[in-house]
Amino acid sequence: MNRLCEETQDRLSDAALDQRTPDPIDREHAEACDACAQHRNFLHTLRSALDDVSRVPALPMRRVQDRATRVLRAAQSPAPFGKRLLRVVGLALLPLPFVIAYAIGIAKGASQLLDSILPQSALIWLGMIYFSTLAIGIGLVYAALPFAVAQRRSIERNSESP
Amino acid sequence: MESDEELMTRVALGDEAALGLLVERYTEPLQRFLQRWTRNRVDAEDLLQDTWVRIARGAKTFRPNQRFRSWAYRIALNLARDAHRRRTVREAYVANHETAPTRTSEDTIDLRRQVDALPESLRDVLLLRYYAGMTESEMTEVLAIPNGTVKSRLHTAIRRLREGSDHE
Ligand SMILES: [Zn+2]
Repeated sequence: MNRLCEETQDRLSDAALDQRTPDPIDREHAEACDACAQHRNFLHTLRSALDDVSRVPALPMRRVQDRATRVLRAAQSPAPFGKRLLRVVGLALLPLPFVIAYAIGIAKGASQLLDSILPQSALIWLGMIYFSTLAIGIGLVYAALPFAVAQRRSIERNSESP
Repeated sequence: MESDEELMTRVALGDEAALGLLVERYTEPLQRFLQRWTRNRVDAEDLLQDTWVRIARGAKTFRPNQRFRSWAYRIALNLARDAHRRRTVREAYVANHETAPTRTSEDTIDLRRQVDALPESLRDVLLLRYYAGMTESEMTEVLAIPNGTVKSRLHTAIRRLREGSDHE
């Protein structure tokens, strides 16, 4: 096959795959040339083979649309409050063991250091103040979480409604 | 007319009307593509629904500098491939084969069988080009292969089909 035929057949193939009529120059060539006429016939059959599928009844658009819309709505609405709070609290609990271990370490070190200077009752009193302050601090952080989650949700809601 | 990407940006913000417009634009070509890919009407319909579900669910991850069409077809193609892999018995597909319409000529039926029998890599480019009207650069995005490979696969697909039809 010569170069002209090869290029013509490539262009004929492109036209067939783009589902358009070939350029006049290629059509003329195909009419005069047996090899390219054969290729054109083949492409014609190929198109009808591929077009068979368009006779399949289309799926009702409404059904596709409704389902997609439901999914979009679900994806847009923020996760329920309880579920989100649980997730946030779960995350916040992760470092808690380390905080407690650290606090115990500090208390042990301090009691060893002050053991010879202070009486036992003063040490106990200091220990109680230390641990209760720590407990109140941690308690306040966890108590703030529901408010933070609620605040975040209301910001998200406001930014969604135009 | 708003571009697909503009519509998709609106969909990401929850705009249901924009999603509706995209569904109108793409459901039919996607269905034709999936139908030929799966060779099975029921599977194609399921995959079509799943494709739109993924599009709606993933709207927020769509980047506006992407092409919607490439993105959507990549989702459809991946779903089709997954579904195909899940089918352990290949014959299941053949058993469900759509019967050819009676008006169709012998040659057409033969050629359609040959298209179905093409290796997946060749069939993908042929179907994306024909049913989705994709350019080579769009196909490189969908299939994640270089431009030159797309071109040569398309070429090979046509050549194989031509050879097959000449032998019959
Ligand atoms: Zn010629």
